[in-house]
Amino acid sequence: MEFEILGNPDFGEARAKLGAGDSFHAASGAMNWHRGPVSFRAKLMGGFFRSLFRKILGGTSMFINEYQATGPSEVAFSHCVAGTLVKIPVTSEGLLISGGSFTACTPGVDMRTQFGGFKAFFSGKGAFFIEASGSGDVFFGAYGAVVEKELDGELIVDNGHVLAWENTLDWSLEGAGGLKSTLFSGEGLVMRFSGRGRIWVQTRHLTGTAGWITPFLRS
Amino acid sequence: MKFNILETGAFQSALVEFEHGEELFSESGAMVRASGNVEMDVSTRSRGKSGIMGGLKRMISGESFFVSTYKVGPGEKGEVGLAPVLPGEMKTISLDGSTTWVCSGGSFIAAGGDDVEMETRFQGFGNVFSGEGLFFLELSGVGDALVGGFGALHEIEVSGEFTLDTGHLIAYEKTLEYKISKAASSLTQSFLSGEGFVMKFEGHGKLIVQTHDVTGFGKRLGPLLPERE
Repeated sequence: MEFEILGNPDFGEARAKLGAGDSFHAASGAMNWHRGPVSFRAKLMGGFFRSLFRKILGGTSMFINEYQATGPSEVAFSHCVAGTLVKIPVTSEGLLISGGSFTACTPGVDMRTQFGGFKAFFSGKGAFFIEASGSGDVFFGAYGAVVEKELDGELIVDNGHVLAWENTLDWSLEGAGGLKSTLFSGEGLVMRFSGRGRIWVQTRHLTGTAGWITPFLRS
Repeated sequence: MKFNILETGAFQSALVEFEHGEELFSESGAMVRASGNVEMDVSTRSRGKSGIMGGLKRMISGESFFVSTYKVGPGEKGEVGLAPVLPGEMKTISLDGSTTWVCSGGSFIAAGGDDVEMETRFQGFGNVFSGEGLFFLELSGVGDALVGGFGALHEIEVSGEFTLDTGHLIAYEKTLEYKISKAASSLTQSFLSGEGFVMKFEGHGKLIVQTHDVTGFGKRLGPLLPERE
């Protein structure tokens, strides 16, 4: 099984070249096209209740699709938002990926849903993360380009820009302007990271685009 | 007539150079700039036969009612710059008189040359469920056409079978045929997988696809917008 990523930074798309017996997982709706003897089925990701919570809190699908090849075949997939598609090998420590940006993974990767907690729930942002562990590759998609940072110390990142980070880092979600602004404005939520490890940040965020376009909409 | 695609990446545009006797036509609103000697007009149909039906059918297919046409006077050369609405790549399709290209709704930007014909063709009611338009545009004759999409555009040589998710089609050679079909083995699975319906192509020919889907992007952006009142 081989993956090739084309079109970065604007429009990343991955092409999986599969042989008989190869399989991988991709997010709901990620597939663009396929050819050759390959089929897929939708599976619950991480148990029924976790899937349901993820659906309710994060609005993302309860399901993940498992592609299985019975001969030489190809599958092309991309993240639903236009931007860079990243492929990262999962390290023994594991990786946390913001809920909406997960795109695909290879079979050895275990996925669990982690919830962002009370503040995230009320802000409507960062309601859940996906924890990837085991061995294999994960794919996640950005809105815009991706900046990778090797952290040794502390870093604050706007919640809407966080894509993924290594589990060696400590993290917390906090309101940039105190609890009041977090609860009432839905803005000002940031993530504070500390320790050593890598972080991936996206250069745009959808809430920003939505905020910009809103005044131009007809009521 | 010469179609040049400028820049690379998300914000491509095209510059078309042409001379007297050649006619260029584009999706209305696609023109960014034109040299001072270019005469612009609008019509409901590309050339010759004009009529309301042509415009109406085109409108249903996801294009605009009117087509813009561009001409220059005797002995003159003109330039027209064109751009699509969405961020994404553009591609030129060369029409050699032997093949017909079919463009999905919204992907056609412009065409021109010695003798380019544009027809709107009904795709069957299967397309209703797929989210694709009921009508596609067919381009034939001799000249060049310009298409654009949301995302990067890839040309794929199909030989045999090829499954394309709906929302990713830009254009295909008419030597190919497609059927709308459920994405997975069963309807339930197709629905749960989020893939819904797909286009199953068969035959030998070229296919142009886009890497992203406006509907997918819209579904992500929509919930962040205020509700309509």
